Amino acid sequence: MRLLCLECGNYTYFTSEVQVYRSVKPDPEGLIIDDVLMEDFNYSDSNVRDELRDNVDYLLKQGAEAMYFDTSSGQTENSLISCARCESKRITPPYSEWAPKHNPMSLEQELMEHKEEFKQFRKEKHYANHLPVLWQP
Amino acid sequence: MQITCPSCGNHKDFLISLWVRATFKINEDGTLSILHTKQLESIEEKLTDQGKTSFALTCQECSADAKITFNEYEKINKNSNELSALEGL
Repeated sequence: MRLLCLECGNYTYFTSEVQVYRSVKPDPEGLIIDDVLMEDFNYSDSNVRDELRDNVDYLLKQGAEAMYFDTSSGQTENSLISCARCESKRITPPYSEWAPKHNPMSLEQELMEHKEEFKQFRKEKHYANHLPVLWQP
Repeated sequence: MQITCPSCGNHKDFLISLWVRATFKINEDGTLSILHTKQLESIEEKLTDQGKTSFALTCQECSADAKITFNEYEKINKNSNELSALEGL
């Protein structure tokens, strides 16, 4: 479950408004409206998919911050995604998304465990920025 | 109808953006499947509105706002009408 409608409990079907680009080609018989085809991909198709993914990802990332209080309805809504079943705009990520993660070890333990690896990395970084020095007895 | 780009002179390929309402499904693995799209704007209205209140049609080559002439023969007709009127006099 990624998103949840607070009105009807739907967590599968949603709607969102996105922009689609269409190609317009003037022709002696009229205008030819078609998909925008680039060399190796369909720009019209990929643009719809990308914008939809962006809207969903934004709502998942922002959570409650993407919601605003609508004075006319007196409810907290979001402007990007609405429920396909009941058309409500009260869509949020479910509460479980915000539950604190239980990590197997503390941050300090993790840092100590990777201490040697980091030292090695720092050496690599240092030597990568310098020219090699010939060995001298 | 004649469409031209005032910037680069292109008269073949143009782009128009339209708002659509997409109905989609969130799958178990988090991917999205698009079920339906409904066009919310009319292409005809956007084209006739071009240059009056907004610019929706852009050049595909240089992204400049395109210029639409709905009746390119209007000027020729006007000139010929004036000419025939003068001849009549």
